[in-house]
Amino acid sequence: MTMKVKKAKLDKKQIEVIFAYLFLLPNLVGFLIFTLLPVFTSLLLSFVEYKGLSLSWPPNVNFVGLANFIELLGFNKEAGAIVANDPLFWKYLWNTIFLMVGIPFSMAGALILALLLNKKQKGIVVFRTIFFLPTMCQTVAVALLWLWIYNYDYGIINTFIRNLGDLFNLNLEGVHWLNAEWIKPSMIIATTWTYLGGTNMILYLAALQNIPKALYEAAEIDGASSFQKFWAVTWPMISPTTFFIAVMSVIGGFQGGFMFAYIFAKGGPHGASTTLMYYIFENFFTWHNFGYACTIAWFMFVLIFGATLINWRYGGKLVHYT
Amino acid sequence: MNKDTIALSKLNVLGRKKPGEKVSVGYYVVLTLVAAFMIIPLVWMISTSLKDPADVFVYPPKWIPDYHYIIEDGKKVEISIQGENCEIEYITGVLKGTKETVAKTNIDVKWRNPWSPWDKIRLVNTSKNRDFPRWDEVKVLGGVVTLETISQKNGIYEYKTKEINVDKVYRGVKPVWKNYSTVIEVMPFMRFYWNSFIVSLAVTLGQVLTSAMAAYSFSRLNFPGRDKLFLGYLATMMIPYAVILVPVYILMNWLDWVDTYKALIIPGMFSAYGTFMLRQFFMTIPVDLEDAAKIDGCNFLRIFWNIILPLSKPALATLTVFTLLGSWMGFMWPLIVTNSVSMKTLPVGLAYFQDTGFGTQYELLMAGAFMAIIPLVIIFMFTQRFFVEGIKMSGLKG
Repeated sequence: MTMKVKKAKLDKKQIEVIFAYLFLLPNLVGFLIFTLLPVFTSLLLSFVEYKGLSLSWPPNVNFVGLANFIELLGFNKEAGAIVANDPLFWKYLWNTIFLMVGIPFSMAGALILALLLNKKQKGIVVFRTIFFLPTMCQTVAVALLWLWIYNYDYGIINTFIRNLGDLFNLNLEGVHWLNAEWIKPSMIIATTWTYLGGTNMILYLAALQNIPKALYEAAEIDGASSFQKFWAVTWPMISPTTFFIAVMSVIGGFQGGFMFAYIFAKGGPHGASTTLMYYIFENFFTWHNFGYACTIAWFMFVLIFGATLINWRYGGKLVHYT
Repeated sequence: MNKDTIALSKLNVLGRKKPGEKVSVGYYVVLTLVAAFMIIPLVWMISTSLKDPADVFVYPPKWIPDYHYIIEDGKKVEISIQGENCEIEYITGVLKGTKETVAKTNIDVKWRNPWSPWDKIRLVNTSKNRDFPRWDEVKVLGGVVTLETISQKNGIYEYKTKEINVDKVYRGVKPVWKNYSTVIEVMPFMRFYWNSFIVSLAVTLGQVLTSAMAAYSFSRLNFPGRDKLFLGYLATMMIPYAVILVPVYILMNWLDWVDTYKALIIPGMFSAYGTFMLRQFFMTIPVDLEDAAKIDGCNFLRIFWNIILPLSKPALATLTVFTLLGSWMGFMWPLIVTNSVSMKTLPVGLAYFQDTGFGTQYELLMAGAFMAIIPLVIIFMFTQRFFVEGIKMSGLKG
């Protein structure tokens, strides 16, 4: 009797394991083929020279050791001056970091929108929908729209600037939004507009709604002004969210800028809008420089990993949790 | 109300006034201004998409697509001011702030469409004298438009000219719907739609199903190596997409999947993030429910299908909506794996549309762009709740 029960139990466990693997199988196979295998292949590729159109099997590759990484990150002496092996890479890294200048602005904007929406008023949902609308639009369509908005002669921003100039009797001609000097700020503005009322605003809204009302009531009894209430209650209470959004934005920022750069000027003019992601795309898709593309991608991974580590290490310390 | 109650209500002890709920007109003004900032570019998109090509490049921009007409025998007759069959003979006007009358021939009209006498005309003072403002405005007094019409009667062409005073020409609203049909004619737009639809649907179905199954396995079933495997899933979530881009493309090429639906769909059907998200949600479902079902003799498939999935509707809906959105908007991967026009998805199709000589035909580009955003906006209107909840969920885990 006892033996039988034990055997039946064992069978049940075996059935569970079989079921578990069956349920896991489709996802696991996909995961192995389209994520894990490519990750290791990519790591290998970053140490080889793999150029040219031929993708025939077996691939025509040369193992070059760290040469790709030295090319990417190294410096050499040229006529007494220290020059980067790949000056383009540093330029594009700078572009990528420059585009992140928009992060604080878009975060502040998202917070302001969330503060505006955090009132139980009629019609708030309509406003929330409107704020969220650009995030929901097909992003390439949005980029085309901004391309048109930035048009020097007939775009609405330059029209507005000229009208403003007329009002004050100034002769304002407008800005060449898509030239080398202005394209990065233009991308920042377009990106900020697109995502201002999106994810970050909703996250802030959720954080604001989680603040206990009692804290505000206590502050009011102490005679705090709205401004003081914000600094003493709201700001510390939402700081975990702020930190989370900041880290996520930085991680996104390292990988960002591709789509707007592609639609606006194909990474130009003269590489002014080329970001790391675009450089990877160019190496891979345009120049078929597969090994080097992987090398840049792994460098990008290191940047993102760094940001994630900072999140883990300081995420709980720099911010106020209750 | 006596003094004490007033004091009490100020302290908010009575709870009559809730904090943070006092609003003023200024509050709504600010809200409306922000809403305008968000919506004006979209209005500009729609406005441009309904314009006559000749009206796209005019300064200042027109917000409402219009046309000009005269009234002949009590009927509206459309005339073209910018076409070949019309010419403006002269315009007279008075300079803003002066009594000086100017005629068109004497002035250098800049920025404005010179054939549009109905707007105030902006002049450029070409003299280098900086004491004068360079811009000036002219109020149009009148002028004569010469219309040339060619008509055909019994094979005989008749050429007529007619002079009309500017005052007798009127403006009406006329959206050019033809732009939309032109876009569909010059670009296989419906095919792009179809591709996007098929790809998004297949990716979403695949991802939600495989993620839910794996998540059930990870959260509810015991098998050797479970936690290590899950850790492996978690570890890959940090790896940027760019890292695996090249190897996956090489794989697609090796399998000869490039430029097929397989390349667009299959690599997108598996998601570590989706698995992670659903696993976290499944963990919150009480195990008691399943134990009861087990006693009733339900197998794992039935527990998964009849208990876990119905209880996880919010999480499943969120994942569905996010995956749908992500794959509908996906740009880089479809750009890389599609070569032929007929395989392009909507975003890549739009970019291709821009690249193939339509890059400056903004009325067509905007019509295409607007067509591309409509399905998403409609989906969003109905599923807004899931977006908001989903975003909140993703934020809490961080």
